[in-house]
Amino acid sequence: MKLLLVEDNQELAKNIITYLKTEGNICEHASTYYEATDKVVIYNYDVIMLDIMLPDGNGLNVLRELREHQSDAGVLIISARDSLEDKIEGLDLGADDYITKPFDLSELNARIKAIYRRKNFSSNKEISFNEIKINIDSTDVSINEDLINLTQKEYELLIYFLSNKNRVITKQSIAEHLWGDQADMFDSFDFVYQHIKNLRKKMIQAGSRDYLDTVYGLGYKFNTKKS
Amino acid sequence: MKFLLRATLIYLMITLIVFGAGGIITYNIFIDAIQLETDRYLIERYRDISNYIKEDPGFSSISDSKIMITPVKALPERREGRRNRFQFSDTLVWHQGLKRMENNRKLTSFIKTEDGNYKIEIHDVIVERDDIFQSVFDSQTWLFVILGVVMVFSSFLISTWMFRPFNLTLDKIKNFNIKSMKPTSLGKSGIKEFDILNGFINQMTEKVSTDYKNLKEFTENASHELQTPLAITKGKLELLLQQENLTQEQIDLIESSYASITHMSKLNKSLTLLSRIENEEYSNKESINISSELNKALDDFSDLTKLKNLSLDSNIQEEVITKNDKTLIKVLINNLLQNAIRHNKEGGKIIVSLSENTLTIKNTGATLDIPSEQLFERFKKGVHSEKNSGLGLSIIHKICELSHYKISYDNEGEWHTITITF
Repeated sequence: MKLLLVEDNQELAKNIITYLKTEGNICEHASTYYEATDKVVIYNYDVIMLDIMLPDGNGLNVLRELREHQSDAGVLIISARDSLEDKIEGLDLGADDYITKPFDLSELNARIKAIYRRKNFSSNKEISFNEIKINIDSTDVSINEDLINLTQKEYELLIYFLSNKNRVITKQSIAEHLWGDQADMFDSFDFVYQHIKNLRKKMIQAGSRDYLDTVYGLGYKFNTKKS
Repeated sequence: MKFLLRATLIYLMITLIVFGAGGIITYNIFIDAIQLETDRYLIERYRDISNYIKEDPGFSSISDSKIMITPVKALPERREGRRNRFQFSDTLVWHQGLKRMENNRKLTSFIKTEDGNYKIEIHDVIVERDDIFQSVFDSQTWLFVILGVVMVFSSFLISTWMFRPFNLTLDKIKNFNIKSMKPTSLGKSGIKEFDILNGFINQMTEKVSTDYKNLKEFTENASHELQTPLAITKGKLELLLQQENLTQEQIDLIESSYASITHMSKLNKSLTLLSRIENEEYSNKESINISSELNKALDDFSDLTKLKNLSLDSNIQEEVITKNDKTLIKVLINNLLQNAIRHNKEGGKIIVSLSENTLTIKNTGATLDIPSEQLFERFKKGVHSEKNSGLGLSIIHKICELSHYKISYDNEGEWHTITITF
């Protein structure tokens, strides 16, 4: 994927770029509105991550610029404000998703991939990894061509893992991904564990390798190096 | 009781004592003055008589019932001092006209003539003491009554006229609302003390208003500005996690930092939400079907109730409509349910009921370890729940306050009930 990050905070930008680059993505960075409009006019990107509060202008204007140039890049808005109006305005202007600071990098990554899949719908209906195949359209999951029956949460969990392969994903991040704001309700993350346990069991029963590693006390990792 | 009326009454009480004392003094002065005049008059009469006697020893010309002349053999020995020539005394004499005994003043003296010695007694009616007392008492009473009426009446006049600027000030203070952030603008009244007071109040409300505004802005900006550094830290920790060969000890350290950061950002979000509710940023009123919102929320929370083995009973009347901002209603319902789940015990119960204008959420749980009246205050939380923000109930309370809903908390054994009346 070719990505553009529009973010004025250098440290935050460094975090995001480091995280995304390890997957072989090309990730460019613009730290001002001026720079951003320049880049989006000249180059094509798959997904643009757009901080709407920039020192020299409202990031939403970058969206307007994109629309004027009939760009088909996916846009993920990054905002420090959890404001409904911003969200609605951004989505109205053609943004694909909206994420509020502070976010988990794994969550950001999953959202970017979801946008990418949606944008490239015709060519990329499927997520597949070794014996695992997921049809995004029908939400069917099969292992070695055999359909397995996953609950909604297990399905979301699997996609989340496949979006962040070989990454340690924290329990908090998983909980937040699956339950949103209600995630802070979990006094213990046994709940996450339950869902992971079920998912793992179903997959192994269907003949999949055990990709899910437990990082004790912290979270889980989808380990592709399992054979 | 009004200040001036009370002051008047106290003043009147003091006046009453002074009037009493004044009455006694007046009475005594009257008595003395009358006696002096009577005595002088009697002496004058005596002088006339003694002249008569000296000129006309037969004293045939003297015929008065008020004069008695009796011959005596010898003059009583004169005592020291000339004044004692006359002896005055009070006596009772039959009054022919009034047919009763009357108080009289009597002068007794002796005279020596060529014919012999005589004792002369002259008496005359004097004003009676109880008459004097009565008149003094009457006049004092009337004076007091007039004074009292005038004072009370004028106190009313003064309080309405003189105290008008003061009452105006009181009104302005009463109507001062810190949230409007408009300081009182009290003008000059022309009375020094009131002007000083008004000046102080203007200054104070101005200070309070700016302080409130600054505090509000600070909360907004602080929680907003914190989001980026939090995002950076969170990201760094996440990147750190991706390092190979971390020891369990390192992982544990990262984990607890990560958890704290997450907690902090939740807290931050709640604070922002609270200040935005306070700023009335959610004021997009529309008709909302509370019943369906509630059913949806219960559905969303079903995972959580299952996790905690909670049994959930709901009795929801369909099509309950209210006019409010949708976000506020969602936040309200979510917070109420979260609260009922969070503070519940393993295997506990939740009963949710919604009728035409009341929403009741009952849940089991440990007894409160803070006084129930502090329940809705910020950061008041029990010792059992250090993980939550302590802002949930404040948010609920703030929403109810802004929407003019009545909220009450009730505790009965292990049951905790929150009732909201729309």
